[in-house]
Amino acid sequence: MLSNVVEWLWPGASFGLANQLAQLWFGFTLLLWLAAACYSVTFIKRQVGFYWLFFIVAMSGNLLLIVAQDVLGFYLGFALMSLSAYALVIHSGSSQARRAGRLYLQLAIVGELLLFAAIVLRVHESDGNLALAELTMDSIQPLTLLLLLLGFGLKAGFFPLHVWLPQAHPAAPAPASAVLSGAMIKAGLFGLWVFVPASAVVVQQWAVVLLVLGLCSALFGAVIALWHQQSKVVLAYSSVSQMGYMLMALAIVWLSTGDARVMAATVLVGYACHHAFLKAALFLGAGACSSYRLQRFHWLAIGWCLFTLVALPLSSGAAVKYGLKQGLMAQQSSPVWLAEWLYGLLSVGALTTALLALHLWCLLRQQQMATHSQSMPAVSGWMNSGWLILVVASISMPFAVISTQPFWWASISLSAVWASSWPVLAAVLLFLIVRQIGWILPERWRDPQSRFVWLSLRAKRLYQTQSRAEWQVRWPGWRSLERQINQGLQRAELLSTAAVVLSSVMLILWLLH
Amino acid sequence: MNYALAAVLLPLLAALLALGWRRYAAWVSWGGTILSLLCAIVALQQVLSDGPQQMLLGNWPTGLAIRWQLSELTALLLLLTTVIHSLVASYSLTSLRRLQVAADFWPLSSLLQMSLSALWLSTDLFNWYVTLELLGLVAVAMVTLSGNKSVAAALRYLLLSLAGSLCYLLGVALLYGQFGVLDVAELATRMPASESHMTTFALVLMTAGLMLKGALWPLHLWLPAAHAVAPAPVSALLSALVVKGPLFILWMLWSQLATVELSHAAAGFFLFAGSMALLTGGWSALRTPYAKVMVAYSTVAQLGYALLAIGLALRSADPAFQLALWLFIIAHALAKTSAFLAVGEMQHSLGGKRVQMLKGASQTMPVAMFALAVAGGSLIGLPPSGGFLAKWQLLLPLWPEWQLWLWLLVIFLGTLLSAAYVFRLVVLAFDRADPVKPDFAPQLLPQWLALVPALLVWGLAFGSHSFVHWLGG
Amino acid sequence: MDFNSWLPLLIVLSSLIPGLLIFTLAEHRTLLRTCLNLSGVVIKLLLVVWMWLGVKAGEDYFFQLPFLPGGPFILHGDALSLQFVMLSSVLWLATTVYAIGYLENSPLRSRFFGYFSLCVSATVGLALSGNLVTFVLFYELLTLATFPLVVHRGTPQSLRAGRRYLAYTISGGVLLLMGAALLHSVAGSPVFMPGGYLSAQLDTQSMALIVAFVLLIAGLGVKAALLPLHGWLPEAMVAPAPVSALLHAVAVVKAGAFGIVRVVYDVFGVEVMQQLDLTWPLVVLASSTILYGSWRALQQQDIKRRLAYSTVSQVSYVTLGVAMLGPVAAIGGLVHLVHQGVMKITLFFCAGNYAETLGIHKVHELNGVGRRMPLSSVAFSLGALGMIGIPPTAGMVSKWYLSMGALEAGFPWVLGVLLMSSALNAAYFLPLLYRIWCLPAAEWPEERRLSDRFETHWMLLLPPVLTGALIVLMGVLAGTDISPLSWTELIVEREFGYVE
Repeated sequence: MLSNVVEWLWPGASFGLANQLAQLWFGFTLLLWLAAACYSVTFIKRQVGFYWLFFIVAMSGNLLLIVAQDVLGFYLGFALMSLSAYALVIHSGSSQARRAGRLYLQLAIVGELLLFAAIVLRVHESDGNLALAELTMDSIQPLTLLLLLLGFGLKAGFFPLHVWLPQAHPAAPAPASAVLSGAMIKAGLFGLWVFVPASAVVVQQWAVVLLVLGLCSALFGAVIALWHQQSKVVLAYSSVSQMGYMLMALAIVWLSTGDARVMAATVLVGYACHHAFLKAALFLGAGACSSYRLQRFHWLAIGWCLFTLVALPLSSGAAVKYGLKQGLMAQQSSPVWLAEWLYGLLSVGALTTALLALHLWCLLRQQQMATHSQSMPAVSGWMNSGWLILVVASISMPFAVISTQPFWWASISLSAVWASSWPVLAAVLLFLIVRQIGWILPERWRDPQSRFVWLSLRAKRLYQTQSRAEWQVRWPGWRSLERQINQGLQRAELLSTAAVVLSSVMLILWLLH
Repeated sequence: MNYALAAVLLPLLAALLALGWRRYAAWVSWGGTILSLLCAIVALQQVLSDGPQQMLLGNWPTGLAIRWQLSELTALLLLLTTVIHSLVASYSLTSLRRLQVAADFWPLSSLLQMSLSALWLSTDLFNWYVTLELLGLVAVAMVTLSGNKSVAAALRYLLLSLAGSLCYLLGVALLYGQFGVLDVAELATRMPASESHMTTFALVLMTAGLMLKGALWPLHLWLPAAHAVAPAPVSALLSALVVKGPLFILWMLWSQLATVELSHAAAGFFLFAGSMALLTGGWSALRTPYAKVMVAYSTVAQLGYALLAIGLALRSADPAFQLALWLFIIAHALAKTSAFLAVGEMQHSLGGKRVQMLKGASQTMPVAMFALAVAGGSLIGLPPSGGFLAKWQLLLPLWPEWQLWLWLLVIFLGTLLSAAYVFRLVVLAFDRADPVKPDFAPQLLPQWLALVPALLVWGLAFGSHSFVHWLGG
Repeated sequence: MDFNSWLPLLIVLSSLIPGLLIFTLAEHRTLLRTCLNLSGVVIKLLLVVWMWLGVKAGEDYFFQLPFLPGGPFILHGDALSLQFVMLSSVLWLATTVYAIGYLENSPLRSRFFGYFSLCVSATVGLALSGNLVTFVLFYELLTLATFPLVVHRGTPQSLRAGRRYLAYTISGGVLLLMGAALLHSVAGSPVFMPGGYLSAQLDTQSMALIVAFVLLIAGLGVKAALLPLHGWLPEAMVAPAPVSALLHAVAVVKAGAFGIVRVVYDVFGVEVMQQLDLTWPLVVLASSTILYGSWRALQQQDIKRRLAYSTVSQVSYVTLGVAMLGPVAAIGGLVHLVHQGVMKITLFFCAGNYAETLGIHKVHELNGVGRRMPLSSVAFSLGALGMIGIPPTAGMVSKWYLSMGALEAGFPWVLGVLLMSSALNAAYFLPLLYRIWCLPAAEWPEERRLSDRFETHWMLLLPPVLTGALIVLMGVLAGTDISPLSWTELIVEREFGYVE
C-alpha cells in the first residue's frame, strides 16, 4: 500500500491505493487495458496514431482515477477517460459511429458537468477537504447525492441512464468496446463507491430504491437484448443488465453494516472484476467473429465466457452471484419482504441472462457462418494473446483473488448449484421449445431504434443555430429634419432672431431684478 | 512691471516697423514676438517672486489715471498670449513661401498681440473698450487676408463686432455718468452699494456686447464662418486668443461690480447659455461637413465650458471654479492653436475643405494628424491633458452639491459630443482603403510646429501644482 | 529615491521608450525595429521578474510624482498589480514575436509597433497605478493607444469597428472619470489599500458612494465587456490577429476586469461593499454576462467572432469571482485573469494562423485542418478545452475555485451559472474541434506557403505552441510556487488575511 502527497502538482494531489479492494480494482483494470492493447496491435488498421494516442490517454485516465487519493486527481482521471473515449467510439469514421459518438459526447459532457457540481458540493460539505479518504466520513445532502448518482450513473450506464451504451459499443472497434464495457463504465461505479458516504441517513434511504433500480436494470437489459440481432448490441444490453447487478451490489454495500459491509464490498469488487474479464473477452470475440476465421478453441473460449455470464457452477459468475444473494439476505436495512422478493427475482434475472447468452451464441454462430469463407484471415497472434489473457484471467479469477475464494467454495455446494442451475435449465428448455415451434421475432419488432439518437440530433441543431444580428437602434428619417433646421439657421433673419432672444433675456433679467 | 509693459510695447514697435519695412516684415514681427515672449516670462517670474504690481500711467491720482495691473493671472495670460503668438508666428514663418497671405499679416498679428496684451493689463472699463475695439478691427482685417471669398464673413464679423462694441460703450457711458469713475476697483467699492435699474441695465448691455464679441451662445453665429474662412494662422489666433478677451472682461465685470443677488441671477443665465453652447456647438461640430468649420464650432462648444465655469463661480464661493475657468482658457487656447494649424496644414497639402479630405491622413501626414488628435484629446478632456485638468477642477466641487447634477450631466454630454467630433476626424485619418493623395509633398517642420502647442497642453497636467498655486486655488 | 522606487517607472518606460523610438523609424528598418521591440520586451520582463521576487519577499515599490491637486501620480508595485503586470509582460513577449511574424512585409509596421508598445506601457502603468487618479489616467491612455491598432487595416469594416470601439470606450472613460472625481471629492485619492479607504465616509456619504460605485463599474464595465456594454468587442475582432490577442488577453478587456478588482477590493473594500449591499447586483450582472456571451457565441459562424463572444463570457468570470467577496471566490476570479489570458491568446493566435496560412475565417472552413496544421490545432484544442474547464487545463483550476467560492460565499446558484456556461462553452467549442480533427479536409479558401519546414511561419507557430503548453502546465502544476494559483493565494492572503 502506498499513498503520497505530491506538492508540486495541483492542490492536494496525492496518490495511492487505499486498500486491497482498490488494488484489485486497479489490477483488473490494468490487465484489461493490456489485453485490449495486445488485441489492438493488429486489429486496428486505420488512423493508428490517433487510436493509440487516445487509447493511452483513456487508459491513463482510467488508472489515474483509481490511484488518485484526492478529488481533483480523480476528476482529472475521470474526465480524461470519458473524453478521450469519444475518439475511440468514432474511430471507424462511419456515419453510425459519428451519430453514436455525438450522443456519447453530449452525455459525457453533461455527466462531466453534473459530476463537477456534485464534487464541488461534496467538497464544500466536508469543509474544503480535498482528500478522498476524508470525504466518506461526512453526511451528504440529497442534492449532492442525486448529482453524484446522475453524474456517475451516466458513465456506469445502468437503467435509465444507459441510452448511450447500446449506441456507442457497437460503433467502437472491438478492443475499444472491450475496455469501454469492461473498465470504463465500472469507473462510474467506482466513483459512487468512493464518493458516497455509506452511513449517511439519506444514502440509507436511497439505497433501497437503488436496489430495486438495479434489479430493473438487470431485467430490462437482458430482455431488451433479445429483441436485437447485432451481437455487439446484445453485448451492450448485457452490460446494462450486469451493471444493474453491480448497482445492487453497491446498494447492498451501503445497506449493510460491519462485517457484512466488508463482505458486500468484496462481492462488488469481485463482480466488477468477473464482469470485466468476461465482457471484454466476449467483445473481442464478437469483433473477431465478423471478419476473422475462428478456430475451435475460440468457440470454446466464447462458450466459457457465456458459461460464466450465466453463472453456472465452477465459474467466477457463480461465486459472485452467490455472494450477491448472501449479501442481499445479510443486510438488515431494507424491509425483509423486499429482500425476499428481490431474492426471488434474481432467479428470474438469471433466466433472462441465460436466454440472452443463448441468443448471443446463436447470433455469433450465424455471423461466422454468414461471412465464413476460406479467404478470411486467421486470427493473429497478438489478438489471440489478448484474448488468452482475458479468458485465463476469467477462469482463474476465483482462485487468484483471495477474498472471493470463500464464495466460490460455497457456490459449489449442492443447494447453490441447484439454485444457480435451474434458471439456466429452464431457459434452455424455453429456448428449445421456441425453436421447436419455429417462432421467430417478427421483422418489425427487431432492432428497435433508439429515440435518443434522434434527440441528440435535435440537441445539436439547438446549439448550431445561425447567427442573428444584435439589437440595433434605427432612427427614422432624422437627417431630413436636421437639414431643415440647418437651412433655417442659415437664413438671413438669423441675426434678428438672435436679437430677439437677447432682448428677451435682458427683459427676464430685468424682471428678475 | 516694466517687463510686462515691454511685452505690450514690443509688438507695437514691431508692427510699426513691419508696416514701414515691408520686405523684412516677417522677421521683424517674429523677432518682436520672441522678445516679448522673453519679457513675459520675466514678468511672470517677477510677479511670482514679488507679488502683484500696478502702474499708473502718467502718474495721475487714483480714480482718474489709467491703471495697469499685473497679477499672477494677468501675467499668465500675457505669457499665454505671447507663447501662442510666437508659435503661430513661427509656423507662419516656416510656411512663408506658400502662404497666400501677404506681408499684411505680420503687422496685423503683432498689433493683435499688442492689443490683447494691453487688454489683460488694463483695469478700467474704457481702456478695455479701446483694446477691445482695436482687437476687433484687427481681427476683421486679418479675416480679410484670405481674399475675396472672405469678404462676406468679414463684413458680418465687422458689423457685429461694432454692434457689440457699441453696446459695451453704452454700458460704460451709463456707469460713468452715474459714478464718474471707470476703474474697476473704484467702481467695485461704489457700485454694489448703490444699485439701481440703471446699473443693472448697464451691466446687461455690456454683457450683451461682450457676448457678441466673444461669440458666446446665443450670439456665436458669426464665428464659424469667420474663423473657417480665415487663413490657418489667423484662425488659430482668433480662436485661441481673440475670443478670450471679452470673456476675461465679462468675468471681471460680474465678479466685481454686480451685487450678490444680481450675479446669482446672471449665473443662471450663464449656466444655461454655457450648457446650450456646449450641446449645440458640439452637435454642430459633429455634423458639419467642413473641417475648419468643425474646429470653429468646437470653439463655440469649448467656450460653453468657460461660461459654465463663470456661472458656477458666481454662484459658489469655491475658488476651484475660477481656477477651472482660467485652466479652460489656457488649455483651450493651446489646443485650438494646434488644431487649427494642423487642420490648415492638412487642408493645404491634401486639398479640399471637407472633412473627407482627411481620409488616410495618418499615413500621409502623420505628424499633423497626430497634433490634431492630441489637441483633440485635450478638447475632450482626456488625461493627462490641460483640458482634463480643467474639467477635473470643474467636476470636483460640483459633485458634493447634489442640486447641481444637471450641470454634471451637461458636462458629461458635452464631453461625449466633443469626443464624437474629434474622433470623427481621427477615424477618417486611419482610412487605408481610399486615402486622399497629397497634392505635393507635405512639409515636416510646420507639422511639428503644429504639434508643439498640443504637447504643451498635455504637459500642462504635470505642472498643475504650480498652476493651482499661481491662480490661487 | 533609491532604485526600488524607480523600478515601477522603469517598468513602464521599458516599453514606452522603445515604442516612441519605433515611431520615428523608417519603414524598411526591420532589423532595428525588431531589436528595439525585443529588447524592450526582454528588459521589461527582467525588471518584472525582479520586482516579482521582491514583492514575494515583502519589498515595497513606490513611485510618486505630483500630478493633480490632492491626487499625486503614484506607481505602486504590490502583489495584485504584479499579477497583471506579469501576465501582460509574458503575453506581450509572445504577442510581439507573433506580430513580427504576422506583419512581415506588410506596410505601416513602424506605426503598428509603436502603438503596440504604447498599448503595453499603458497596460502596465494601469496595473501599477497606486491610486484612482493614476488609474484613470492610464485607462484613458490605453483607449487611445489601442484605437490605432484596432483600425490598423484601414478598411471600411475596421473603421466601423474603430468608431464603435471609441464610442463605447470613451463613454466608459468619461463615466469612470466622473466616478473618480466624485470619489476624489468625497475622500481624496489615497493609495489603494486592502480593505478600501472609504469606511470613514460610509455613514455620512453612502449615497455618494453608491453613485460612485455605479459610475466606476459602468466605466470599467465597458472595457470588461459587461452585459449591456459589450457591443464593441465582437466588432473589434476585425483587427489583425495579434491585436485581437492584445485586446482580449493582454490589455483592454483585462484592464477593465482588473479595474473592477481594484475598485471592489482596494477602493471600496469588502466591508463597505457589504454594508452598501452592492454585491449581488454585480454578481447578477456578471452571471448574466457569462450566460449571454456564451449564448451569443453559439450563434456565430465567424471564428474570431465566436472567440470574441467567448471572451465576453469568460472575462466576467473574473468579475464574478471578485464580486462574490469571498476569499476562495477571489482566488478563482483572480487566477482566471491569468488563465483566461493565456487560453484566449492561444485561441486567437491559432485563429490567426488559420486565417494567414489557409485563409480560414468561418467555422465550416475548418474541416480537416488538424492534419494540415497539427501543432496549431493542438494548441487550439488545448485552449478550447481550457475554456470549457476540462482538466487538466488551467480553466479547470479557475472553475474549481470559482465554484467552491460561490458555495462558500453563499451564492449556490452561481454554481448553476458556471455549469450552464461550461455546457455552452462545450457546445460552441467542441463542434470546432470535431471539424478540425474528425472531418475530412476540403479545399482551403486561400492557401499561402509561409514555411518549408513547418506548417506555417515559425514566428506564428512558436507563440501558440508555448502558450498552449502553458495552459496545461498551469493546470497540472497549479500547486507549485511559481504558478499563478500560488501567486493568487498570496494576493488573497494579503488582501483578506486569508490562509488556505
